[in-house]
Amino acid sequence: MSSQAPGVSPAPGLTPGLTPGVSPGHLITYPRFIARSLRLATDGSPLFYGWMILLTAVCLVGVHSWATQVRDGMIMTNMTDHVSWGLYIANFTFMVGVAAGAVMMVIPAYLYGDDDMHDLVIIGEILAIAAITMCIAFVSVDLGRPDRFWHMIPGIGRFNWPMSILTWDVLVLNGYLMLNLHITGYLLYMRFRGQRPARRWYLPFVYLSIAWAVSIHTVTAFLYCGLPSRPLWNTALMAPRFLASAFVSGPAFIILSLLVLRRFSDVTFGDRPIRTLVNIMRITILISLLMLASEVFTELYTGGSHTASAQYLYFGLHGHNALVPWIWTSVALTIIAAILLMIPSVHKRPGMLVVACVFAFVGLWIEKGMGLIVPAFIPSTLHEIVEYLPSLTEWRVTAGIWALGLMVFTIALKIGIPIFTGKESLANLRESQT
Amino acid sequence: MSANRREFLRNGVLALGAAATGAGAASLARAQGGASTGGKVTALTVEGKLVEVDAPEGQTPARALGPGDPELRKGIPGRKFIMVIDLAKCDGCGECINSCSKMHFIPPDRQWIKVLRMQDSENAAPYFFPQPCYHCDNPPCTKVCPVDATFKREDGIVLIDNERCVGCRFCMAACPYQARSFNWGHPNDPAEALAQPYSPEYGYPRKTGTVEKCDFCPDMARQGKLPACVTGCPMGAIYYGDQNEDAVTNSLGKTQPLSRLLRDRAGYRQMEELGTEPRVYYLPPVNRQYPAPDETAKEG
Repeated sequence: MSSQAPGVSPAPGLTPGLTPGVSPGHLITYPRFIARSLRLATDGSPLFYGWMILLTAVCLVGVHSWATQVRDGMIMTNMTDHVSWGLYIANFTFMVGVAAGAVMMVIPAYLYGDDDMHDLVIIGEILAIAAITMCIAFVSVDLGRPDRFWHMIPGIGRFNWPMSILTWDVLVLNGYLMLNLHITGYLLYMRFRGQRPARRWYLPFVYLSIAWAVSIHTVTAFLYCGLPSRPLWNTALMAPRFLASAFVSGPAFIILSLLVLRRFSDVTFGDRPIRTLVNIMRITILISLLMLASEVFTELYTGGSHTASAQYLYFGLHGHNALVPWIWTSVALTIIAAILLMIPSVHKRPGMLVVACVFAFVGLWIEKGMGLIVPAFIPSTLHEIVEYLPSLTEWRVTAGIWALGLMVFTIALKIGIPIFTGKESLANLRESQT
Repeated sequence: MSANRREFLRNGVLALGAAATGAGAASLARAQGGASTGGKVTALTVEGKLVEVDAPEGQTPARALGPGDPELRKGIPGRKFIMVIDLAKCDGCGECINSCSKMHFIPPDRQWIKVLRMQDSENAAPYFFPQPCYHCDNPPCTKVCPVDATFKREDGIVLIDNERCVGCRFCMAACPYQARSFNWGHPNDPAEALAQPYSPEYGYPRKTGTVEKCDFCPDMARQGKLPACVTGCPMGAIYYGDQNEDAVTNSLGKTQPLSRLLRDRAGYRQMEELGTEPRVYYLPPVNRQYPAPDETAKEG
């Protein structure tokens, strides 16, 4: 964005705005945009305050537990040398999917010219920002030495790029965050100024973000499937499976958010966007289940020591079965969600839709989380069985990060929606002042 | 320490004796600082001939190198360290573990070298299987490290810089041999360990929240000594040496030509199919020199 001297008319590339007359320069309007955003973020109904207080409280519990973990070491978790990744990396993996899944609003809005979706697309971009924030938080709390996080900053640290897939993940996740921050920030600022956004300042980034969304989940899948030591992960189907499930969990969360917004905010929209998202989920949830069945068949019918992890996950191994209830809960929830989504009138029945979306979301949270990360370590490469269930510290930190993510999401919507719908703008501000 | 040194010197003499009979020799003492004879050193071929070869360039410091030393990531010049474990000789006594743990001040919750009880099928006899880090030539662990904290050296050794490690544990997920341990809590190193400056070549004083593993004892090699597990083995089951010299030596001072040993005894590497190219070879447990482990034998 170019900054201008105060009082100068907009640059030629920017279409003159909906407001008649000369727009003031960015040096004046940008601070006012920020100030108004801060005001919108902190001002609201008692319900909003109650919700934010709840989230802040949960977040602080997480911060406290993480502080304890930093002080006393990772011994506060239940992870071991045998199961060296647990709940944190499980949640990280799932949240990358939610971030990538948000693109399922962007594609109809920009590629298929769906105008109804276009009016709401900002919600998808805001979800991507919140989800990536959570991803970065989950990776950070999993580090044994968070004080050395700067070793992972390219240029400052000793970045093992391109060999280490984790360095690719650092780049694509932060890149996706930057893209969505730019797109959201630019569109909101232009709306606030009452100007039509210049296509060249956001459309290329939107198209880039669509490809980038695919890349974040593909690279995250490559973290796991490129390891010869973990046969459960060592499958070429990993990245496609990640994408299929991401395009279920992302839209599921967006539908739930839309239903909440319809109930608790004054934003209005028709049935079309929800119907589009339901249609997307109808396909992606079936693809996701099909690929899961294909993997489960390959593992269990083949047999042999390389399939021991799948045996452990679904049926238990030598009397050890800590994950069996988890994974069957996931299978049941996902299948029920798929059946509910197949009902033709589901998009008109909010109750049923909520159940379907919650079931799909939770089912995939288990499947892409605990059901994917933990069993790859059980049995260990030396065929020893050491089981893992998260410690209280891990649950608290995880809850704290979820609260943080929901806070980011809530605040961004609180700012974004009134500005995007034109209710809050520079013109309205001036009117109220005069 | 001094006892070990005497033992090695004695081994060196034995090695020379072996050289006279044409059995081959390993002279780890070559790596010792100041022991270089100048431009050329005398080495023995597998056929038992004495030949003059170029001495390693520059002085090799006798001391273990610190994390900031540029030579640390290169390794000991001209060397290619290798290990051979004779499963026919291992009786599972665990002295290699004790010796290693004592030298590296390893806490009781982990081992840098493990002794596994293996049994390939129900009808086959069980056997003991000592397992250090394999210092793979194609290491999956160094590949995945995002901050280049764990690295492969020209002398074949894979080390960890605990002052660079961020504790992401990707290397632990990548290692197919479970060679790596994590400092989950605050380490409780003894005063003797804390008195030393940190060096990745011996891995202590330990750092909270970082990964550690067997280091192939490069600090011992610099002093012309064998690794702790090798000297600790009363059976002489573990051989260590330099692949460039084609010779390996065990605790009994017996030096064997590496290539002939691997050929005659059908040496193999664990999980060869993964393509990790371990630098540790095993000799199959045929004609065992000890009773097979029974069902009640201690695992790991």
